[in-house]
Amino acid sequence: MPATPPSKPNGATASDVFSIWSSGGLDTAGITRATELMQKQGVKSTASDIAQVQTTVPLKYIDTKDIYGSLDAASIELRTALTLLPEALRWIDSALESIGFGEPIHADDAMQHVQAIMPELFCCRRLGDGFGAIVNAVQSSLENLHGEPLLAAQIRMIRAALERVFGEPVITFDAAMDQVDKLESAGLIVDPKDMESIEELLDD
Amino acid sequence: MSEQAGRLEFDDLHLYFAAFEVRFDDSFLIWDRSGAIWSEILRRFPEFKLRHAEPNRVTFGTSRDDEMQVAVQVGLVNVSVVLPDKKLERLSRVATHMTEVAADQLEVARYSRVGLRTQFTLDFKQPEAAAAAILSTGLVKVPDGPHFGLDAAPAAVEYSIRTEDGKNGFSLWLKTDTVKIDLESPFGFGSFTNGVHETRHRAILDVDRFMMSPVLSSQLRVEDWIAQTLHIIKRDGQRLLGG
Repeated sequence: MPATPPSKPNGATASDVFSIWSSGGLDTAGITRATELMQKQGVKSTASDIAQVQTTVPLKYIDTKDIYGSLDAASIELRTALTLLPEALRWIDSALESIGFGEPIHADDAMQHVQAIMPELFCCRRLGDGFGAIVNAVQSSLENLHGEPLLAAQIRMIRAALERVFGEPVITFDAAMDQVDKLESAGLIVDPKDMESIEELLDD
Repeated sequence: MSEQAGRLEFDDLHLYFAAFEVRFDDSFLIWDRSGAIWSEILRRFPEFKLRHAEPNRVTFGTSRDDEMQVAVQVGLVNVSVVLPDKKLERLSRVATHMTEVAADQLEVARYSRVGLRTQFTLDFKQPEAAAAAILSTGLVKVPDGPHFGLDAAPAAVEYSIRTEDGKNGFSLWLKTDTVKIDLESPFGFGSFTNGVHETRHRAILDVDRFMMSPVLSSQLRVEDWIAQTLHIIKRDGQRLLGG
């Protein structure tokens, strides 16, 4: 396993195409660029694929990188969060890719890197209650596995949560709880370990 | 920079004015919740005094060393300050709180425009000296000799540029300005003061840096955005003028 996050492979994959669509919105240039990439990579799309993209990306909002283009002057917590989150997302993508190739050990290794990043992200919770709630839930989810490997669906849900908080660092607590609920619905235990002990004590 | 000569550089100017503004789709909840908005703001900043109130716009202000005016309108929040601290820390604190309160009370989930405007100035005794300072930057060229039948130094100069990339943009004006204040003393106070009568000639670098793409309120951390935008304005102001 490489010691640094994997770089993107040469050429684009289907998920790259989707990312271009998602981040660039639905302007003509974005669709043309995405279509070119799809043709180049032999990715087949149908009208329903496009319709699905159109419903999931209703409005073109500015990207985080375009809002915070000069992080030198930003607070330490925002700078750290916006540096570590893309790193975590790259490791998660690597894990998903490994699962796709039938390499669960590599996938697990990649997720260990994500787990190692989480405590530092937790230190950035001054960004807001929503940020803290999502990071805490992801960190607890990983800790509560007790050595069991994650399922692909669970990894995807963790990716969605971290991608959300990367795109919306000051997400409201209520919106964050929706994301936390999705983690739970994927079978992850989102409460801190200690919290369970307290609950057991209270039950007793 | 002295009146005599030299080239006007960014470090010669001082930060005279700054304004932060977010715009959003009209929220008529302001007619229901204006009192709640201002009560919440005044709990944090009790020094603000009411300046102006009408249904679509309420303005409060201070007249401390850094004179500040804050406004909430149907479709915007604005915080303006004269002679702010160098890092805009107070403006940042006020803007963060006001934006949070307004977004919450007016149920604003996205902003259509976010901007920070700054004015850096240098005062001169004569308008021609202010114009000469602008010309010394080399950004505006005036050919030698009489112009349109007049053989005199320019009394006013203006250079402006606007750039947008579809997401962010800026407008910049480098210009001269004359401010004339004529405040008569109120009836009965003539023996105490003659009022205020003053004329100031200034060279101004006025920069408005803004986001023009829609931005979710959950994407924007106001204090960080102001800090980095001020950093960009100062960095590129120095690049433009030197210094």
